[in-house]
Parts: sequence; C-alpha cells; structure tokens
Amino acid sequence: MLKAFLSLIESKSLMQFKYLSKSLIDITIDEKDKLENLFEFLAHKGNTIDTIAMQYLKFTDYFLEEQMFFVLNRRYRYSTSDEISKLYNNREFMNNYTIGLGLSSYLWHTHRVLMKLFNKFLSEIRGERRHSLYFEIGPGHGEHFVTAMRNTNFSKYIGIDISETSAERTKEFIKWSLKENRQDWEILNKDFFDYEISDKPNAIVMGEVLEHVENPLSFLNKIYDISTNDTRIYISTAVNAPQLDHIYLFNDIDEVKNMFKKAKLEIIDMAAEASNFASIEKALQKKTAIVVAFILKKQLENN
Amino acid sequence: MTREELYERLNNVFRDVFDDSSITINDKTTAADIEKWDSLEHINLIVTMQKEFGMKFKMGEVRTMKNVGEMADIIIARI
Repeated sequence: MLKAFLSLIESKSLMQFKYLSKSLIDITIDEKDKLENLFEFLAHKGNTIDTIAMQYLKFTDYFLEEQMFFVLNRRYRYSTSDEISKLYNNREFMNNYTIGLGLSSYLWHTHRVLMKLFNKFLSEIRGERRHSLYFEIGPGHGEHFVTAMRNTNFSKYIGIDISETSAERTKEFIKWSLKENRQDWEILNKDFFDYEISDKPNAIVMGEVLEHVENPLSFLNKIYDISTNDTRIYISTAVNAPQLDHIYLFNDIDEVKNMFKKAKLEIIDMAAEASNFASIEKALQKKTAIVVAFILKKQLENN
Repeated sequence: MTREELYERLNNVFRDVFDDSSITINDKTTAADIEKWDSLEHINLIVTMQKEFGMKFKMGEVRTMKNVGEMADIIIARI
C-alpha cells in the first residue's frame, strides 16, 4: 500500500512527495512491514488509500500552518490545555491528526531514529521475571505499546491515556496488530495523576507527551515517584516543533536535559535528530524541529 | 516594481534559501525544477519572501501555488 500511497501523494503534492522520498531513503524492511501493518489497519477501519492520503496531507497542512506561525512568532500558537481541548473534541481534526501522526512514525526519518532508540531500550529490558510490569503513559497511536508487547516478556502491560478516543483507538490497534487473544495487557482511560499504580513498573514509556502538557515537570516527578532504582524509562519529546496541540515549548535540548535533572532522572542514553537531515547545530541555530528521546533511570539518593 | 525587478530579487531569495547560486527562476519554475524544494524548504522560502517583500501570503495560497509565476502575481498585487 505504501507504493499506492506515495503515488497519490505525488499527484496531489509534489513538495510533500519530495520530502517523503528523501525521508524514506533509509527505511528498513522491518519498518516498512510496520508501516504496511498500519496501512492495513486503517483500511480495515474503512479508509480507502485515497482517504488515507488526503488525511495525511491535511495533517501536513496543519503542520505547515503551525510551522509558519512559529517562524514568525517564535512560540507555539497555544499554551494551555483549555485552548487545545476544543481540538480534541473536533472529530475531523482528530481523525486527520491521528492518522497523520501514526503514519509519520515510519514515514518520517526523524521518528524512525527515535524508534531505533526505543528498540534498543526494549532489547535491554526484556522483562523475563514472573512479576514484571511495562507501563506506558499516553500510548497514542499504539506503535510503542505493540512493539513492546511483541519484543519483550513482561508479565503485564498497562497503558494509560486521558483521552477516551485515543485509548479506544490504541485498544483496536493492539487487537489488530497482535492477531491473538492475549490477556496480559490493559489500556486504561484515566488521568495519570489520579491513577494509583499497584506495582512499581520495571519499564516506563512516555512517547511524545511532554510537549502536550502545561507542566511537564509534574509528569517527570510522578514518574520518579513510581520508579524503583531498577526501573528503566524511555521518554521522547520535541524541540522547536510546532504542532497545533503542542503547548510546551522546549527551545533547545539542554532545556529537556535540565528538566530531567530537576526531576532527579539520570540520562543513560539518548538520540536526537533534526528535520530534513540537518545537523543539530544548524537546527538549533535556525530553530527548526528536533526530536529527542532518552533512556533514563532514577537518580540514586546520594547523587 | 517591474516584473523584471521582482524576478531579480526573487532569484536572490531562491539562491539564498536553497543555497544554490546557479538557480534562475521564471514564471513556469516549479518544485520539480529545484531539487531541494520540498515541503519543509517551502516554509523557509515563503517566510523569507514575506520578509523580503514586507507582505504576507494567505495559507490557502501557500498550499496551492503551482509555480513561481503565481507567487510573483501575488507579490505584485500586494506590494
């Protein structure tokens, strides 16, 4: 389906086609398979390839508009959860946005770089103990959750999402992708701050959440509280990356690192990739988007 | 400003944004003619033009402009 999708993009937006062609230059077979799985899931949900292409282009239109706003104003359009709540209630927006964002996980080179660090994270925390927990905050499109379920052996997988629509979509995607009736997972439609977790997780994942919240430090503090010294944490976010529902602006990578420091989380490994294959230095200088991901652990008390 | 004068300035903008001094544009130039002109660089191009000419493009125009000739028409109408 990727070939048909790209052909439609080429006929509707040559510039987006050129961007994708460049971005897909180093896609691996495994990543291509995951992308095809996502196309098939969307088709199973009743979308034609033409609709998917149009929804993806709408998503890139939102991106274009916000990028222009950001270049001119040096800030994101919105800065509070109240302002963006109306977007989350807009079915058409959410549909285009979720589909576009999901596809971008594998279509965009930047997102694939982060997925590579995520896979490294999983390979280091396989979770072979009898009572072990994988815990994900804001599983969104479900790619991380499914990848974790396929590649690790935790005894339980829990995802928590404040958005009912998002939680439902994640459940559907998991059921579709795994094609087996596994009983070891749960997606909860709850607020992370109201949720009393019964067991301390062995792995905590929070992909692209910090930029969507007013007070990202509070999320990191709570992650610290629910972690043990052995818990391994994967967190990704974005720097200078305008999207309609991004409300917290990280101006550079050091701001993200300093926030981890404040939350007493220690960086073990990280990846950063600028859009359009630019160097990190150039992206910081020109204030263009950089995506970043970190593997972390709780800082020991005496540090 | 004459169209020739506009094109002289436009040429400089294109050469600067795409970092290619060999670029020479005309009414029919499209993204197909300039290797680096993709959706991300399009944003830089539009923003640089807005600064150069002290005008703004509408979002609908940014999305649908088919060639440099259409860009030039909009700029001339607005400055």
